[in-house]
Amino acid sequence: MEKEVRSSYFKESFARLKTHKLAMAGLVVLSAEILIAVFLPFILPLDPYSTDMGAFSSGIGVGGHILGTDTIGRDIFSRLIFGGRVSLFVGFFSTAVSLLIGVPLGLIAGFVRGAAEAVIMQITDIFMSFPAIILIMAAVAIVGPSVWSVSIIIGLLGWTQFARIVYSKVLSVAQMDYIESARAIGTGRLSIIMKYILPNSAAPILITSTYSIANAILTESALSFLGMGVQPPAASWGNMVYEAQSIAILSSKPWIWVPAGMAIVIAVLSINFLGDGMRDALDPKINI
Amino acid sequence: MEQDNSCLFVFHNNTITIINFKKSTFNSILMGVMNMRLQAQGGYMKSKYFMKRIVIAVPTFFGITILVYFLASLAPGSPLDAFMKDPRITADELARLKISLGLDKPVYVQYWNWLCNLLHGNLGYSFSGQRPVFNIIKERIGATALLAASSIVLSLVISVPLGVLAASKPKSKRDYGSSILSMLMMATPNFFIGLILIYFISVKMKLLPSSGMYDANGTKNVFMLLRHMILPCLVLSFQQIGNWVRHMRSGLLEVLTEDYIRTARAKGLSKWKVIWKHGFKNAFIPVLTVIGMSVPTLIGGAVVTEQLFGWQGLGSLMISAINARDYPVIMGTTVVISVIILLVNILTDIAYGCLDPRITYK
Repeated sequence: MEKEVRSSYFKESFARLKTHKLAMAGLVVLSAEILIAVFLPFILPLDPYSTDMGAFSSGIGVGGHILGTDTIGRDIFSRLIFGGRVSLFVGFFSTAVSLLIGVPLGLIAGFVRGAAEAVIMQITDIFMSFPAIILIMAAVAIVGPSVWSVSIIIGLLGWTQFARIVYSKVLSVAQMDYIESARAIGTGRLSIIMKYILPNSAAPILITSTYSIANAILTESALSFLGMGVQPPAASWGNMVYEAQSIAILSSKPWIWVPAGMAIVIAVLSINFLGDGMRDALDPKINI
Repeated sequence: MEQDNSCLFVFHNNTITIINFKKSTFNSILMGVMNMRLQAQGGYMKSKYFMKRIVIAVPTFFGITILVYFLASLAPGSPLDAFMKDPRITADELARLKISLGLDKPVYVQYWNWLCNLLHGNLGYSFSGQRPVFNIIKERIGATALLAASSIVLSLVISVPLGVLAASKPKSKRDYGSSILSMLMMATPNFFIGLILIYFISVKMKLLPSSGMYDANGTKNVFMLLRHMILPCLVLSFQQIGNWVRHMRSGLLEVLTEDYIRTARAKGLSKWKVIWKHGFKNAFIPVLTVIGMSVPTLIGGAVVTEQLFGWQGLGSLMISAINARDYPVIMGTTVVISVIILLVNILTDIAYGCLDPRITYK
């Protein structure tokens, strides 16, 4: 009985999501991006690393390069696709790291209460009073920049929002009558968490995750743009824009830096549209 | 009671959510740590609440210093590396330097010494320039403060009317237009919009300078500073405007469903009068919190913006310090920035408490 109710909630939500045009557009674009980034290199002979000796920073379409080449003759289109792999990976992986830390901490703080709660929320406060990018920059400089270190560090510093959301959700759900009755019939703490608290927190966690992915993509691109993130020859959208710090490339070779910048905008925009649509769809109370 | 609220408003809009999270965290810490619960209300309770808010910031401050010190001590290489590059240096001199820098003592002693110095305003000496870090930060902090403050003003001037316009007619064309525009602004990395502006306004149209704070000819005046500030300020505000428009819109929409709005309309006030006089005032209070919470992001954005435009503030100082592995500067800057954010958070909470009479103090 209970299962039926729950599945119909998500079914209803999805039906609502389908009527949300922007969210569906976001979903389509995001899925297309993921499919292209993952599978296109298997279909087309894309080579983001090797130099075309005949074509240094050649324009769009010259010498068989769809989007031209960069200053040392690497194919921009290939780098865009491989850079997309990196950006999307950083977005999803760092969010997974944040979830793995933030959700358990939020559960503990809200459910165990007492000293654990005070300590965890104090730590959350400490982490939230830093501008994340500065800590991330310092940490990446210390550990050494790579795709893995960048995504792990972004994840390690992004868990606070999940801890806070789960914590407040636990506090509010724990006061509900059905939790009281579950306790009364002797349900253990762990199964109360798994059966009632987590499903109730699923919607806000999902919504926060989408924003967290978008933020991680933006953070990685900013780091790489400053030369502190993903290092060449590996491609990332941020380090492709890095080249525009030279005024000559900025002013006369826009094909080198504009596509990567546009790619970031499109990826983040589609994720945010999807997140917004999900927020509206998962909350039947709101009707704006 | 407030914990119930946080459940109710979880989806409604980020503003409300954040505030209630803060409140519930605050309450739980109050009950957990101090085990106190005060029932009375009034001005006395208010000042007591503010005192508590300040007291609670103290452990946060120490936590920040520990985190910064821990991070810096993880760094590979030692401060001595810089001196070892000098071929004339002897082992004797190195040993003396090690003692004079306090590197022979255990980590917690080093941390304690650093903390004591910090509390006396002594942030150590920069490795590269051998100048007091305090003085370096003092030179740079004004530029960042100027940029951040003007960015807040600019963002408000643009986002408040846009948000009000969108909320005044929900689900209309202008509502969708403004929300798509604000989403687009939020999705654009500040370095990318910065490069685009430099490309069109500095390179193609030659209207505004693209880097530095003053012209190279040496004269410094306010007009010149303003000219150099326009582009960085726009870039720093770009994402923020998108964010604030959304908060302004959802905050106002929330308020406009209240009974007193219907009453105001019923007694014959015009739509815009109701929005500005009754709606806006109430919707602006949560926006104040959003402004306070934007400060970390603003300073984070200043790092990229200052680097892009050669603005001589704390952000570009931080980047050059990280590239030079100048740890005293990195640590000093991070601590100073965090303390500023801590203070802003306290001020926001206090301002919120003063402006919204509905808040009760437990």
